[in-house]
Amino acid sequence: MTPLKAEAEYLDSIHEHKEHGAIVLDGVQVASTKMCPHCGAHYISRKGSGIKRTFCFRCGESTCGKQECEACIPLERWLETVERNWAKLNSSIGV
Amino acid sequence: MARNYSVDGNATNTASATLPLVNLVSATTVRPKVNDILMGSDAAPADNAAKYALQRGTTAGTPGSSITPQAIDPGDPAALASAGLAVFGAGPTLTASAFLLQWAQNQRATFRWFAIPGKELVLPAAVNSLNLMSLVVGGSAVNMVFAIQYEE
Repeated sequence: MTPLKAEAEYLDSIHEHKEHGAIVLDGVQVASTKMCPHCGAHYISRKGSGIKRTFCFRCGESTCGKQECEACIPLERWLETVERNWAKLNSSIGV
Repeated sequence: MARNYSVDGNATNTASATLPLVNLVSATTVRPKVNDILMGSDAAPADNAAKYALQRGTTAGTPGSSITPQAIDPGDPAALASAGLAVFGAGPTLTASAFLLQWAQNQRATFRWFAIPGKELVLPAAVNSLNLMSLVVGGSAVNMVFAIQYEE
């Protein structure tokens, strides 16, 4: 696994118009990242990847393509659920 | 207003699906938001490629050593989040398929990822971790130097 040049891994990436993040190699931006509104993951859009991403009309953003992210569970709701469950667990064990 | 901190360290990027190189552990009082990652190698230049990922976890694991996040503004208080560094004795409980960012990196390249404001990688206000994993190493494992900046 020895690419001819360091940025070879990102030659098929798509530069997004409204990027949410950027990947920079040796001072040169080589790719854009978009953030999934449901899980919060950043992904790189690649030409011909075949990844089917869902566009969530409630959140107004494309998802990362994972099946778990097809249903609209916004990241904020997931965070609150984890925090609430953590608080319940701690209170049940007397912490 | 959010305060910015930096977690800096270095570790050998031995491939492992269970033991991270470094992790950031949140606290019940704060939601850390990772906004910048910088990573490179101080080893003699060579063509060794590796695949890295940031994966969520629900525990902190048992790190080899701890890293104290440093406040970017010297006037800020100590960080509420904490960080652990390889070599982990017991790995954190990782959430399956919960990869927030994945990338491939040649040893010769210096990698940087940053997020625009509002699009950071967010950890919940619970003892959850964000783990930097070295999933695949093509060639030799080498020492990697990294800086993870976040706000809380």
